Amino acid sequence: MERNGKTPITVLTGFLGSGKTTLLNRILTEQHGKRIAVIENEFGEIGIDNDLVVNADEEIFEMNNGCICCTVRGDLIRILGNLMRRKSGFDHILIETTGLADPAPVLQTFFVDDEMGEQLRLDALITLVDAKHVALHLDESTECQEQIAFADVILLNKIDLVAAPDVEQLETRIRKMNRFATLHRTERAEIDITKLLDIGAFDLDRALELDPKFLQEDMHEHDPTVTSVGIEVAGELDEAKLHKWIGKLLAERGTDIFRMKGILAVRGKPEPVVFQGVHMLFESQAGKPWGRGLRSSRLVFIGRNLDRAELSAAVRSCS
Amino acid sequence: MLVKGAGSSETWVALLPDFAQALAWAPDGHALAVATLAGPVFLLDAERGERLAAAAGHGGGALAVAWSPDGTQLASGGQDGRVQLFDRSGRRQAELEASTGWVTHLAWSPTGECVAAAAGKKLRVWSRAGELVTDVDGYESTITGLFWLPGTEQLVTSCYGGLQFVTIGKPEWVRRLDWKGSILVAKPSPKGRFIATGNQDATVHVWETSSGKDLQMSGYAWKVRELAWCEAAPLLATAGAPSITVWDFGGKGPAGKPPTELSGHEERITDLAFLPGSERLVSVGVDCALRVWQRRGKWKCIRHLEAATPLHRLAVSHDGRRVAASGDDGRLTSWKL
Repeated sequence: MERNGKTPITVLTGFLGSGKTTLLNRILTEQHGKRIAVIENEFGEIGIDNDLVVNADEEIFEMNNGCICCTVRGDLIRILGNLMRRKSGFDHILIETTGLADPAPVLQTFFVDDEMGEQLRLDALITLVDAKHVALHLDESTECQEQIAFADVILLNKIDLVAAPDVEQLETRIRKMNRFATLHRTERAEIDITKLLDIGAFDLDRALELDPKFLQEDMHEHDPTVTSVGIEVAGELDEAKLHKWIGKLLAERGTDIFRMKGILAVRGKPEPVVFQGVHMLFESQAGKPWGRGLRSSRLVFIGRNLDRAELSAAVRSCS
Repeated sequence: MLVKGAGSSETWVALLPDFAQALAWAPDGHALAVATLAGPVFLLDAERGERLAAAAGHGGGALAVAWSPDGTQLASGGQDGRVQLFDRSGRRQAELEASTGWVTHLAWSPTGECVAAAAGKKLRVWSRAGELVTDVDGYESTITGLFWLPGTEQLVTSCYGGLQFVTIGKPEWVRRLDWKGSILVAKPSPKGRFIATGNQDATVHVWETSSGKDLQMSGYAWKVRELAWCEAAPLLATAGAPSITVWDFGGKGPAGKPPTELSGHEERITDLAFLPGSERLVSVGVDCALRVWQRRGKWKCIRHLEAATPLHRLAVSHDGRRVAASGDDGRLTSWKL
């Protein structure tokens, strides 16, 4: 299934034991008729039943300029470059990261490397969470927090091993970190794969679908942990001011902002500007023209040290 | 494999089972060796593209081919982590185990006594009889470039972090030129005075080999994987964009001298090669075009040929009279220049 002729990429993260291999095997054995290539991490211990498995040995490339947003996965560039040349082609590519992987370099690879962007498109980042053991890691492990924060889809897996009130509590906790991901509760990673593949979470058009109910919240100010912030501002904003503010924000706070996306009502433009970003990398385009209703801008941020009041005031100051 | 004429008797197209990842003309010009991602390694007749020999090749895909300087032996490498040696007619002589990593680069020593292979994070060197003579394991990242430094008996490798120099028989690097960045390709100037690298961060880096002094060219549109040194003049051609940038290393070098831009390709350029001993440069690109450029006072595009698909890899025969370029879907086109 291709959009714009580009092969979709799904990134699968989650700690060791969260069920990544079980989910991979489930996806691969299901009768979906898709030709799927899997790039498995170097520690992938259980055999995966698929001809098209390539083993990747995580190689993080930092660029000479030291900018973290330019940090990419060199091994993926090589392997995907090789896969893209193949005659047979693939309908979908799954990338499994190691349990301790920071998802950012994987995502940034597709923003930074033009050749990857020419033929591939990021579809979604899926994070598996081991409901039984994740509590041990949520406070201490940066990687665990990042994997949840970067996710478009979270599978709260192994819920059969945990008492119902605990699942409830865990879900609330995860929601506070990332309220914009779709969350599914699963046992043995059992889920309809149409909820996982080809969902277009990185499509800029999808930014329009941001649910306003997520934007109303009661979060306290400045939170050093990983949180998500949604902002809605009625009326139109000034393009030059927005430009300046976003540039400054990403330069100063790009390290703390894991993901951001939104839709902006810009004065004088017949259509909204839709955008998304991973750390300091940012892309935007014109959305579908506004209808007759009132125009408003909606932005969401997921990251560390986010101050809702400050972000909100900054957006308002662009009007 | 089907062979079809493609408009001109001097041109042939071979349809291979999958993409031709690496191409190498035999030094005597009789054949083109081809490594395909389907696994097999082929020897194609230089004149007509007919299949002279086919070897099962490498599980997962063949990635590299290289002829010994005297043309009596061919080496291939692939995703199975192995190196195979063949005689001139494609009969297999030996299969050597390099590592679990992909064998992406092969280089015969100038004397033809040994062949070096870059396999993931390992460097292996064998004698032409297949005896392991050097084994270097200290790499922290995948080797991306491999060559014998002209006029010496040293091997040079590149990877994320810089260049490494290796002497036969020593399991460790004898010299390093560190640079914090991701090197995608490394090539020495014809006499080895300079080493140029193309990098992921859209730069070209050049070292003066003896002093280790370096300079960097930036301003490329994309990562740079296309580099070619000229034998006839001190020129370095680079791509990383839809145009070619030619740097002049004559006199005091390229610093402060504006490079020459060669425009013509409409999309990303994928490979570059100078014709041996001349100031003629061949380029191929995603726009399906092969162009030949010549410097006679000024640079000019003197040939513009079109293939049926985007072109990715290029090989020029030793006499400079033939070129071959691999396109999508296993389509390989050869032109007589």
